[in-house]
Amino acid sequence: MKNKTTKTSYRAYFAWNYQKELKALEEKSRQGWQLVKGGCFHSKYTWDDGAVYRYALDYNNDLKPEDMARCRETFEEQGWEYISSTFNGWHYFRKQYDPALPESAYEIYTDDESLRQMQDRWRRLALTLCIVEFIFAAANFLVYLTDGRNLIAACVSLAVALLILYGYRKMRRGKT
Amino acid sequence: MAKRAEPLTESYFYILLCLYNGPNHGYGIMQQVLALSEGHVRIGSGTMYGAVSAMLTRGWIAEHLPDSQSFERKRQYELTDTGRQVLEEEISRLNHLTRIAAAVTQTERGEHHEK
Repeated sequence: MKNKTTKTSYRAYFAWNYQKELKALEEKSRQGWQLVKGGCFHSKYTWDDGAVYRYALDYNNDLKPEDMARCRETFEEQGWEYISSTFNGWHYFRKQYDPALPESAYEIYTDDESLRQMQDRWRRLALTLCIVEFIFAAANFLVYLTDGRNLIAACVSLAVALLILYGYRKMRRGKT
Repeated sequence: MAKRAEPLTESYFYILLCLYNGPNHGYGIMQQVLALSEGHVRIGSGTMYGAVSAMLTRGWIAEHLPDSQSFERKRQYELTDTGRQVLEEEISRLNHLTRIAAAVTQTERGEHHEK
């Protein structure tokens, strides 16, 4: 019987639940499945029960190539291994788990100020998207009122806007 | 004169302090901060990258290119004149605060003894 050595997961996580995703990645790692490519809607894993990893997710959607190189170097200096980045600015890192190290060794944001700055980067994007969706919703409702069309598009835009607004409020500022 | 609106965070302060006597790379800064703070302050990768990026933008630090004779291959940073001024102003501010605190608490202790 052929054993699976790779698998793909289609579980999606909202941006404001990124810490939930980290917990899930750690649990998978304990089970022997190691992340090789992270993503918003699907992630790829490879089988390796020889090590357990802790994961870190960093959000920065404005990195030029030279900034990304410096970012990776900074993380690698502290024992983090770069895994992958998503199209919208989430960067995945992993570090081999050592029970002798304190929990603080696996925290990438060690003061409230820098954690808030990371969260604020996402919140700024979310606010922009939210405003755009509200404008789309308003425009489509206007078309519906004058022409009887685009009601579904209007409702979808409004739902997306409200979801993003919910996420904007949910993405806590500072340590949770 | 360097414009600075608010006090430095602990991370910023320690990074500038660790570069006061010469260039260093990120890991070296992190280790020096741990040593100086006797293990109480650890600067994580995300915090380090954010702080370094911000200070590079503000001109407080600059990337230091090691000379061809050096074995050092890691990216290093060095304090600029502006950064040195910012750090010295912050040290002066903290010294002023501790002097005020000492004066107030010693005065209160004196009053308590009298009672």
